Amino acid sequence: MAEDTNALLEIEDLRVAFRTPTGVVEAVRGVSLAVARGERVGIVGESGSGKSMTGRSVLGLIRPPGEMRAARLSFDGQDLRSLPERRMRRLRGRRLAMILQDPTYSLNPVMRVGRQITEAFRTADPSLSRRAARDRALAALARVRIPRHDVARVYDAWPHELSGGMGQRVMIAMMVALGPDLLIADEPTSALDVTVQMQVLAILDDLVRETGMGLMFISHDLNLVASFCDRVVVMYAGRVMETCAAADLHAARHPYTRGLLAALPSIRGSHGDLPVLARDPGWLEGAPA
Amino acid sequence: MIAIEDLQVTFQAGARTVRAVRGVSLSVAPGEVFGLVGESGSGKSTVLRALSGLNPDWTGRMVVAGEDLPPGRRRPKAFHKRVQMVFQDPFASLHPRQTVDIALSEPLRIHRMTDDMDGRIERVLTDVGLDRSFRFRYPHQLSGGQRQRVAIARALILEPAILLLDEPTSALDVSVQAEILNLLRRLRAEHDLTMMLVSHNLAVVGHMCGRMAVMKEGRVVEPLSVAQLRAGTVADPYTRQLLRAAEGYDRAVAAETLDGSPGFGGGA
Amino acid sequence: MSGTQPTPGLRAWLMTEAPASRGQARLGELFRSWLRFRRNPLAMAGLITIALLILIAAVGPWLAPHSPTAQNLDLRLLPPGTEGHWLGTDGLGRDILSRLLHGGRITLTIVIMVAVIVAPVGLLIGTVAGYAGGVIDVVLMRLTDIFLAFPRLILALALVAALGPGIENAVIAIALTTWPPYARIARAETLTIRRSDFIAAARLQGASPARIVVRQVIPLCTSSVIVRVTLDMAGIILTAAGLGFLGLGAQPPTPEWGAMVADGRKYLLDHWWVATVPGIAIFVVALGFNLLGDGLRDVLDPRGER
Repeated sequence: MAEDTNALLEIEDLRVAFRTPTGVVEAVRGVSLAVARGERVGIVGESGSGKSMTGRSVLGLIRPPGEMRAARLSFDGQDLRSLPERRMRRLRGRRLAMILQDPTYSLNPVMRVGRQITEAFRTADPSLSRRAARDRALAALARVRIPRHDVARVYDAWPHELSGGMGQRVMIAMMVALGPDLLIADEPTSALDVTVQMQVLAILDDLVRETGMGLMFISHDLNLVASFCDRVVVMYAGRVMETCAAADLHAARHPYTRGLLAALPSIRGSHGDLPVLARDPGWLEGAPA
Repeated sequence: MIAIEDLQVTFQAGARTVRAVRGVSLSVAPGEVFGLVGESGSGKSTVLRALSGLNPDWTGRMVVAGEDLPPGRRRPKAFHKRVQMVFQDPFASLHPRQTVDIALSEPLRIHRMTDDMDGRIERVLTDVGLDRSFRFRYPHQLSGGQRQRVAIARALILEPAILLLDEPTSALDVSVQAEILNLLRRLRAEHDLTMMLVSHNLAVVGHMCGRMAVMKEGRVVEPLSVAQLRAGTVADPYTRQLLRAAEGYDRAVAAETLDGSPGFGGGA
Repeated sequence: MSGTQPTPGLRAWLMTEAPASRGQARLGELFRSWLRFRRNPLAMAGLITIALLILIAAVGPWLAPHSPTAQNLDLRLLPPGTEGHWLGTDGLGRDILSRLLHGGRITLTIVIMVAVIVAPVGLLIGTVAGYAGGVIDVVLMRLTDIFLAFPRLILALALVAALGPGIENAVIAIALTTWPPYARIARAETLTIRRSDFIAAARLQGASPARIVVRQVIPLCTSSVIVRVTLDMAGIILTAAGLGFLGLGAQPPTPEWGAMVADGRKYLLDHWWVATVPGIAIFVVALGFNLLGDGLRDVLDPRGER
């Protein structure tokens, strides 16, 4: 299924296992997927489905006792499995970026926002002057739609002075300013209010359209993924249950996906009992649909 | 069953004074499920905490089951027997060192309902859909959904008339949320409970409640019936915004909200 | 430790996910903690050391080849390895091995008595102050600060001087000067615990503040206080030794280890073993308590449980 010719990221048979004293826990068990340039791929699943681990694997962030194996893990033609840590580090931040659920944990609390952004730029490009870095940081903040009169204020603010939505914008500004080819967003809007969530998604949407970057959007929210992404990968217990075009998600065939959709209460739905998802043990073993 | 008039709650956060609730009035009939919807910082949880007695610093008038509640003082035991609460995070609302059995027998001991303790505990466990094998487990041996069922059982064991629900499913997976919502609906019918449900999720409130109030910045912006919600006939622009956001991502709607949004304060 | 391996049936009974009674649930928890503890070899080393100390305290006096107080000036300052006196003799010709074996009991007594007094007092003051807040908190914590402000040994000295020398009074003096840090730990823990939802739930059940402190707060603070006590054991032993050295703790000829070190100081250059042998004993026991405390912290910390 990863035969897309212009695929930016190709994953084939990815496995992640954790060795614990009580046995080996398999978090990801044979996931294959691809992300093309300019494509928004949603990875959706419940907690424990392995969706976050899949994202972290791409960035090489699985740490012992975790172990990662894959038949293929290539990013823009480079094999990420055999890449030495030093080159992986160069790749991360410049061409591969990640944003997480809670920006307050990702920003350094004792460094002003502007300084953090310029540091990131100057680490990536040591020849950059202080002034040039500042100009680029202000431009990056403006690009995530921070109102013109607020940009300087955000630049000089401490992370705790930012609201959740603004913090997430700053994270996005930092991550996308270096022009990554692939952005992995792990529940980037789950901690935000719905209206703020829409704003952050609009910013991501624009970035994908304007720069042609690939986006791997990890979320538990089926409706959100269906309305925001181009393609959706549904995961359960470390496996891919089904992959389909986002527009077709509501016509999904796999019983797991259908069960999840049915379990969602809806504003226009009836007041009766919600259908409860019956888990089929066969989903743990069966080949992806 | 519940009547709140001009409720005001003010917090002292360092040097700043935060007016979390600014004049909320509402009433809930016996047997009704009433919803409070809003985003973080709207004051919806604060209303619930003031009503439950967790937050004694408020002004206004609150009447529960015909009884006037004075602000500032500890509520009598009889009040707690009548009004119980279920919290958002089932990982934080159970004592990590207490078995289900202890969590359920504590309220009985406090209210001297020690006759037939075993029977009461087993009945309430069955009621929330847990079999007796769960009785002597510790919270870390339970899944999130099972923990929330224990929390509901702990609230129900005192046989209250009113159940306050503070985002009872927002920490749970979708499939578990459906199970808990079904359970709450069944319990309401079987035990003739009056419920007040606080949530940021319009769909959950719409599914559970007959009437609701939309809150923003400490005020009720619009009282709504479920019929109005379904038909989409809402008057307030903020409610309309929430309603459209609940439908999923829409480029056009998002563009509308993107300009002129506040960047500071009111952390999400 | 193969003797502690339960039979398969018992193991299954302990490890079951669905215990059938309160007792089984509690034993199962203990067993799970034990399994976690056993995985840490350093903690096990600490546990074995402390177990040996307890064993020595129990049977040491019968193992000792000589009386701990029998003096023989002809045999004074014999080096270790001498026939009949394997660890040598001290300045009065007393057998060091025998004194060590007898002294284990004294060391253990001091340590246990201090722990039994200090832990509950610190726990109670800290949790009450932390949960009640307001005036009660201010009063209790300023009281704690006053005790903290004095150097421990000097305060102990003043107390012993007032109460009179002896091991019991030394224990009281040490206990009175050691509780403040435990109160502070318990208070800090309580401040985070009191904000949690399960405390709110208990309040909504109508539980009184006293009941919440006793049933909900104290069980969660106990483990960190126990861990801290084990980690502080070394300091307690050394304070007791210091008091002994100043003639205010164990009185001669009691074979208390600290007093033995103090006694050996005058021969340190020419006859190193007189001070070094009991010093090594103190070091080993202190290290044992330290390793045990570290291991207990990993096992008892509720945040560490999944």
